[in-house]
Amino acid sequence: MASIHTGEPAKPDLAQAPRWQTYRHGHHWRNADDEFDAAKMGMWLFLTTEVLLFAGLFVAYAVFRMKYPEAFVAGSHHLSVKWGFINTVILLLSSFTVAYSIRCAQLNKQGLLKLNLLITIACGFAFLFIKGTFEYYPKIMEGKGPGWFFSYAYAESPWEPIWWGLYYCATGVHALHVIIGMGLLFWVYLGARKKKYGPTHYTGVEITGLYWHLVDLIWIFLFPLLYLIH
Amino acid sequence: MNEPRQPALNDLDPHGFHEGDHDHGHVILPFRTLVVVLAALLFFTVLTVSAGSAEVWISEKFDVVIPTWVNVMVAMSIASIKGMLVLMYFMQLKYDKPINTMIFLFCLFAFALFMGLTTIDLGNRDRIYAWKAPAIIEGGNSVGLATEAAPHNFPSGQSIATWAREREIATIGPEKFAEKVEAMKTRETSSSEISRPARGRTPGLFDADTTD
Repeated sequence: MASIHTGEPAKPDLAQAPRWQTYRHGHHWRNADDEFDAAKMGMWLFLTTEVLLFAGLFVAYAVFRMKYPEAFVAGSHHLSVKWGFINTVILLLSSFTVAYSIRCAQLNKQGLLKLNLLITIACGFAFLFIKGTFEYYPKIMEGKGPGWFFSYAYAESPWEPIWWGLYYCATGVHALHVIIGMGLLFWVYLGARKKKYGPTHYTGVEITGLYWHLVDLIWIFLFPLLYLIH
Repeated sequence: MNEPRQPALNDLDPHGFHEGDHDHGHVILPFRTLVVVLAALLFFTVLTVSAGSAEVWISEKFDVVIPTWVNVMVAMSIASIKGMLVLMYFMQLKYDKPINTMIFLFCLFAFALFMGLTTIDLGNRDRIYAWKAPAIIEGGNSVGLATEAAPHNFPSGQSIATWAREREIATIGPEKFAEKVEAMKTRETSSSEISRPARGRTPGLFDADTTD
């Protein structure tokens, strides 16, 4: 680093330097900034397709709610606001740790970067555990299953199975995104262990973080729609 | 004026990659900002949950009917604020190149079009053809469509919920079933028109045929 301050270009020892320092952008890019911006914009374009995937579910929710309001009121009362709230807090915390991990990569705090990524993955596990153990499992055991698996005898509305179909579809597609996000974060963690990310190169952390934030963003809207509107 | 270019005196930019262009979305969010945004998000989460309970409390205490749209508007407004916080700070749209914000806004426009046209159509079909208002599509209301191709389906013309109910009555007997339904009625009823939590079973949907 001392060489910088004498005015000479930095010449890192390639054998010793961490991977983020020896990273060179693709030769078809003008500079590292262009590469970073293009990667980020590509991620945003992908995120729009993700939003539109969930848009289909939100529109289905609106249509069925307009058509069968009683079924939706009856159905949403079977959900536990407590567990929905706890899961929301878990996802918000994980969003914070991901944003923090990007800051750590930018400041070359390798230990905190890895810790934050691990906390985020742990939050994902906690979310899925709560969803499966306290929400999906008891409901399916009571017969409030999706589609053909519906066998709950005490439904208040003949159309309640539509609510359950939409509930499992929306939360299931969201849970799938949580699982994919956890896989991507683990991949970033493995890279961080090899010191792949640092102040001049953190594209992987940044765009994986964007994906995880989208998962959080979708849940921010699913939680009131499914649990709170009654 | 014609001094030789000096590499940036910046430990965070040892290669001078970002020399001269510091406005390209490479912002390092202060830890304080991150914590404040997280605190705001948690606050709004608590607020949206308590707003739901507050509506119930108000409607019961003062015996007023709060229409459902109030419930929906409060919950969705708070969710939008939370979403905006995540987008602006955690996803850094506030500091990013404007193109990414434009991409996302265009996506929201597409979503609004999708949602708006669908709901306007559904809500106003009967304005042109009155007979379209209650249009029920076969199978679209979870009514069984047993066919030769799919003989395992539940009885034709029956809701899967009705079918489950009939099986239960056949298993435990109508008296026991009526008892169980009665036990669930101990709380106040709710309907789609009033914003109240579950207080038991909605009358008039299935209850009419419990006795026969």
